[in-house]
Amino acid sequence: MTGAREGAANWLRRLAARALARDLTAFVVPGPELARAHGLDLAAAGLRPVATPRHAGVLVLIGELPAGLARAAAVAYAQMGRPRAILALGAPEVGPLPAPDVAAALRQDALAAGVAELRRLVAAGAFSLGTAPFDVAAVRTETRYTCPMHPEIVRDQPGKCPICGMDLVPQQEVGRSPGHDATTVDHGGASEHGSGAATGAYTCPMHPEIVRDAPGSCPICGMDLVPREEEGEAADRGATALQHGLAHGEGRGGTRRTYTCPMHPEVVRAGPGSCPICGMDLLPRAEAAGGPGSAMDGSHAAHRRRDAGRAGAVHGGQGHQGRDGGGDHGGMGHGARDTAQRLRRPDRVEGADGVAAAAGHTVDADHAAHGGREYGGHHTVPRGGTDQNAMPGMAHEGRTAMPGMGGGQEMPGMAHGAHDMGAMDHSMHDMSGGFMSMVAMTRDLPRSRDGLPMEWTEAPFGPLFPGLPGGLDIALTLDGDVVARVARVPGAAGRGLAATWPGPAATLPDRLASLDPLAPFGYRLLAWRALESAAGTAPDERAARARVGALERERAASPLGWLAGVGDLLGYRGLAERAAALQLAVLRAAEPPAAEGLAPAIRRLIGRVERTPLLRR
Amino acid sequence: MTPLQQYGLLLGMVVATVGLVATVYLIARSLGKTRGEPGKDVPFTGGTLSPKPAWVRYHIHYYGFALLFLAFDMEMAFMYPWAVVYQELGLTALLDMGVFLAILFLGLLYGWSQGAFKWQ
Repeated sequence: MTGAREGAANWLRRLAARALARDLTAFVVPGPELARAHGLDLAAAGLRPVATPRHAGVLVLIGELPAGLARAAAVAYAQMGRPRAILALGAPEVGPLPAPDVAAALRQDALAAGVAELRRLVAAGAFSLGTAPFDVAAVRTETRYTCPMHPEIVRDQPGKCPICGMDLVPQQEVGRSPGHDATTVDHGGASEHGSGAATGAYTCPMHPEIVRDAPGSCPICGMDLVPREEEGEAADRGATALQHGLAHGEGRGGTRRTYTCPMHPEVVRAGPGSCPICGMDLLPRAEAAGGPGSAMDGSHAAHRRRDAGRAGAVHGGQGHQGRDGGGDHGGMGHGARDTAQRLRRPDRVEGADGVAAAAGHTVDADHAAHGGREYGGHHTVPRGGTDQNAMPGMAHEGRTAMPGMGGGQEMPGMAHGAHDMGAMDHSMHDMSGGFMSMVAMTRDLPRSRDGLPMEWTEAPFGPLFPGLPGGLDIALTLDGDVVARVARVPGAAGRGLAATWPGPAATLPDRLASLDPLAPFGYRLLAWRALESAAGTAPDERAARARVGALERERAASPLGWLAGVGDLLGYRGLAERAAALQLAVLRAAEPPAAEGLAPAIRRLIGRVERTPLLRR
Repeated sequence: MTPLQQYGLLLGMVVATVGLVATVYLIARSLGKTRGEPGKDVPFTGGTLSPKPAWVRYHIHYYGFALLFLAFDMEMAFMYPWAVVYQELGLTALLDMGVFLAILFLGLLYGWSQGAFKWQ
């Protein structure tokens, strides 16, 4: 066994090995539902599926794995405790994994024989001297060094920061190739990138999504369209760049319009629509990004534009955006800025504004946009000190947005976003700064909606998900317990089905069947029919009937498989086991009488689900 | 049951607990050496290695000061009345305070291990 535990065999270890061989736990890649879809009954063969590799002794591979899933399987294998073994079912290529201890075909009898072989192997070889370590690039984390004060300094070797002379601290990175080049989902105006400012010169003061080249009236409310300000326009592109610009570190000033939910400011979309969380209509807001000075006019323009149509209470929020867009964050307190704003804009409805301004601050989920600016070198907020008051605007946080505020107030303080995401890497090491010092540990961290200083944690997730045999690789940005952003890591998982199919026609059924590994027969039948109609042949009647039977069995078995998954998810073991057993029975009932015999059992299952609390209709 | 018998019971429980823990460690040791391999000390997140620990966001650290406060301040508050009745109660009083101080001392050791006594 390649995954044996280190140590010479003695009586105690032999006893332990025999006990392990009797109770084999299996972590299944891509998932147990795929095994059932292939008609494999792992439990009957003597393998107990578990949810995490920590509890598993055997890694079971089902079918051919795409490269991303093979890498995930290698990571899962590395995370299993020794002794561990690999059972490959119909998987000729296992990627970075060591050669499987037992390989078998995707059939129940082959599986049973494989498990018996595995039991012998584990009982005999669970302990051995001189075991080989499993150390491949896919499971290695490489350590890089960064400065706690200047996260832009990243070195391969430990040493001193060239800026401040502090010792560099380790920062771990996962050494996988397509890794961290995630594309964020909410890249609103990616396509607008660099498309000219000349188009769309007129807009409706009430419906900013209406943009026309010529003056006229708004198709929604009939108001006259007003000219769009050029500066805001030019700034748009700056902000778009900023949304992407976290890594590029380019920062320019300006505003761009995105849509956000008044209740969930972390929801940011490029166009209007409804909130995926609460279903409310998304409201437009200007996303500010400021170089000192220059952007001020642009955001004032945004303000003016909206002044035309909105009620006074809305101004508070909008005014904030304007101020935020002003970008002059340098050390000035929020209150001071409020005053400055008042002096500058005596025409505003101050009473309502003041209240709205105080109550309306929310954390802007799209910190990245601000962060880009911070990296861009316009950062003037003092950030080195341990004094939390160094962050302007912090006193205002911790309140939720009021519905109807016009959405999208942004906290100047939150502009620390990107810097702090860098800072996050070293915050663990800052703990040496003082005994349990909250100030030292939460220095420079962004504040979440409840006002607590929080880590922004990058948490990769996937690609192994129950029910997704093709895998899905996503990267979460957690703000405390809240998922602030979700990004898909492209190219890491998936079976590459969109690639052109060069093979001979006879391989088409298999190719199509792999489109949906959980219910492959429908596609296979489709391919057969296509090939037959192209060749001008027809199946005989018996074959045609058998095909229809197989298709119907698959149609009946597939929801049973999902039901078993639901049972697993709910921790309702009885439901999971019954549904899984029935799914396998339906898939195997080749003759009509056998299928008819299953009807009472299925009816009983339906009755049981309908009596289950929370599942009943 | 006299206080001394109760302390005998407590001692027996402590010995049994330590014995159980030691046995578990002994079994683990006798089942072979563990290997520190890459990926093993990283939480399972569906087949990727999370570069950062998942619990990093919880900053509830006032308990360190609470431990020190108990060890250095509350301890004194109990020791004055204890000193008054010490003659009267004898060995039982010594054991009472011994157990109390032992528990507080664990907190002290923990704070020490976290660098609580480092001059800043």
